[in-house]
Amino acid sequence: MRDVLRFLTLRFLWLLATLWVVFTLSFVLMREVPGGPFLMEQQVDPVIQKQIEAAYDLDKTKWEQYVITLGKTVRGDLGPSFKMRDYTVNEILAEGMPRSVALGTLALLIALVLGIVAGTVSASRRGGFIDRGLMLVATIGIALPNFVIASILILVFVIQLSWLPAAGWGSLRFMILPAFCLGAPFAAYIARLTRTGMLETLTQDYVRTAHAKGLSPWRVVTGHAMKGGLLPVASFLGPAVAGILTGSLVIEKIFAIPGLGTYFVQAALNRDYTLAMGCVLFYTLLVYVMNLLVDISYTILDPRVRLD
Amino acid sequence: MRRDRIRNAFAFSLGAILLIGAGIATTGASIEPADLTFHNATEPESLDPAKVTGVPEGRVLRALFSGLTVQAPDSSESLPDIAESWNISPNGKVYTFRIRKTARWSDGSPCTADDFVYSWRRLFAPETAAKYAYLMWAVDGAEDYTKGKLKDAAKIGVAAPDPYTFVVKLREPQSYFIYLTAFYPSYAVHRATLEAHPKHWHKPEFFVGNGPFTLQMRLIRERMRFVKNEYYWDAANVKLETVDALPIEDNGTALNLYLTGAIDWTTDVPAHVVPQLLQRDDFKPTPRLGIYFYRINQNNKDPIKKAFFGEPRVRRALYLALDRKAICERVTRAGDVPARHIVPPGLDGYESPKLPDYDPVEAARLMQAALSHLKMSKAPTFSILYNTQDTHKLIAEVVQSGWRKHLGLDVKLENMEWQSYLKTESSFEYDISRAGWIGDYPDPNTFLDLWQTGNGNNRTGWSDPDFDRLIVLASKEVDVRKRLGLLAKAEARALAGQVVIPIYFYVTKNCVRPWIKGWHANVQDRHNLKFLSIDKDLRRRMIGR
Repeated sequence: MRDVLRFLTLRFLWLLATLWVVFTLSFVLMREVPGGPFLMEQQVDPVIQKQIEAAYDLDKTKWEQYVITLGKTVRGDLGPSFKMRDYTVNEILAEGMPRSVALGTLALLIALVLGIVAGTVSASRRGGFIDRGLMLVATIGIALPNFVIASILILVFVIQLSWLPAAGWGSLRFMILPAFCLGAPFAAYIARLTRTGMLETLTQDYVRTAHAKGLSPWRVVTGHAMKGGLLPVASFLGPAVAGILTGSLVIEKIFAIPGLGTYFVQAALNRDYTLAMGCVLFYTLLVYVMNLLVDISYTILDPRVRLD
Repeated sequence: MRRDRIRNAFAFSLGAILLIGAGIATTGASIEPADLTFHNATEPESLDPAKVTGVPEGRVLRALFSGLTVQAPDSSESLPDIAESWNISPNGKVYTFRIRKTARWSDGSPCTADDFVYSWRRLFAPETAAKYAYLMWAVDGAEDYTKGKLKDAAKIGVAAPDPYTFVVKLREPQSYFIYLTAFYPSYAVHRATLEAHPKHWHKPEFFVGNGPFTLQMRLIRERMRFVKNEYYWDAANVKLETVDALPIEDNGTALNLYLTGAIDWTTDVPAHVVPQLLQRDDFKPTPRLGIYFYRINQNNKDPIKKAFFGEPRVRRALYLALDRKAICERVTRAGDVPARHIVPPGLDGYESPKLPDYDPVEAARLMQAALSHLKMSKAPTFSILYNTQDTHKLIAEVVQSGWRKHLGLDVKLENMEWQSYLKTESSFEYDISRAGWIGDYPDPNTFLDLWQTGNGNNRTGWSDPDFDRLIVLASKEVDVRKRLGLLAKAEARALAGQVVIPIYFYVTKNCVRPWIKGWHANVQDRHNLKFLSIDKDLRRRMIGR
């Protein structure tokens, strides 16, 4: 138990250090790019421009800004958004997160179910017609950009068949197409990982023993081979969850989904310093926590791995 | 064995979390569709009329607030709104508005002249940092107050001698001032709510407005729902009960929603589908107050380019060798009008002087003359700067090939993302740059005063004392005909000096369902929801709903 505590404390300290480095780098980079949050095509009087900048502390020196922003961030206040001025960054992230989580969960579920089933079937029919067919689909799934998949799906299911809404947010019907598009590349990747993992375990002695005991092929695969065969998938899940939860700019644009994905790109383009910073820190935290969970889950899934 | 149990429990809980997550994810209920749902480009920057400058913001604010006047649905005329009438003193400097006694806020409290005094003082206050405050600086003392030279707000030229009289004193007459009283920077905000909830007054739970609608729901980047404001003075004539504004950033997505019946009005469409859409009855582009043009940097940091672009014959040659018609017919394809002047057509009583038409032969002759005058054997290589977008790129390519073919120029294309582009242009680090300008109010001045020496929107380095003098003279002229005459003279100066290269005048790109009544095209592309209604019979016949 003491090992576990030590491990977690250490990781927590590393997290703080990582966040600070990310914060500092982002702060410097953002303010070095040309432009600014309040530069517009229609220029306003310089006096007014200065007033606006003062309202957001932009008239202070970069050092002062750094100290002020860092202080607020440590207290959990990410400040007001520069471009959605009725909201704070905390409010924007808090409102976008449940939507991204909802969509991401569905996408992850689709990715896992499709990926694991396809990978397992493929591995147990190695070299056969089904294997080749499934892996071809998986390769296409990885190679095709998701806006192409989205356009094809919209053409078929929205315009031709009118089964699903074209875009928007509200109920499950709105989520099916975007979740599928978001999950598809992950499904394809998981299928390939599962296949590789399964192929390795299927040749192990304990699997042969299971066959020899007279178990049905179904029991052998699901009861014995899968536990080991899915290890590569588990390690991929960390970054995958972070990636899926933070969504995708393209998918959110095409389906007009008010999730977090858009902010990651848009905030930087708009020079919305506070929102961009919020996104970067949030993503860092998410990736870090997900990788930690993967490490922990490894010790549970594979008895040979220990925390230290 | 224990490890095995943990392992199973882990796998089980992971599965459970996923399923519960999916369960929660799918429980969201869709809400009833509104009477009218429209595409509103992006999430408004704010609901504070003093703090915004954009078009999507305008669509929303016109629903939630009312001005002293309102723009007529089919013209630029100002109709009475919160003010039932007004009169202007003979010298054009004092406006007296009669506030109607039935004007109310959405919480039922009366909307009075004091609300306008408070709101206008707030607009001009330095701490408000209102970008559009300068539009209203004709109000006596306003500019000094914004700039901190005048400390006492009571000295600004706005007064409420009684609750139903609002008096505005201008420092000099401004013939288009009445239009500004229909524009959102001049809207009144509800003082009690602002003071009680300074940071949250624009949230639906606190919001109080004086417009035809009020705010029921606002979900960031998802939807804004407006419901009819029963306290609005003209509520009897407001026909829509609910309206949804969807901040959809992608025009293609908005069009998909329109074509599948999910929304009733899109405000813009992707350029590449325009030819197909033109065959439909519900897509009718009409002229609007906006111009697409190229700036020419006459303050170039490179001395050779500075001399080159500083030569009027060079600028004229560039203009003459640019095939505006080809751009309108082959690139934009929505019926945009090739521009031979700066002020767009469609303003009552104003006729722009015109530049000669496309003439590559004359262009080549002028370029030769200019080069020999400048003692240059060859024109410098320069680039056209534009912000990253397909249409801008296609247009720049047409221009590039024209200039190469007719003038033998070596022209490069340079694209930048929006903010870098703005920075590059405003710091004069460009040669030629793509630009657009949309009129703030229906008057030639909004397209001309920016070319004055030192104006922050000039950004070309062009300067002409005669032009500056004519603009100032026009701003002081009370007689409408004389004033427009002075502005036309000023425009002639700007054209003669070839301050910019006009390319085309914009058209509107709305798709509107036929059952939406009261929707009229107008040059400002402003459509107040208050005038719209639904022909339910027609809708039922067309889509069965």
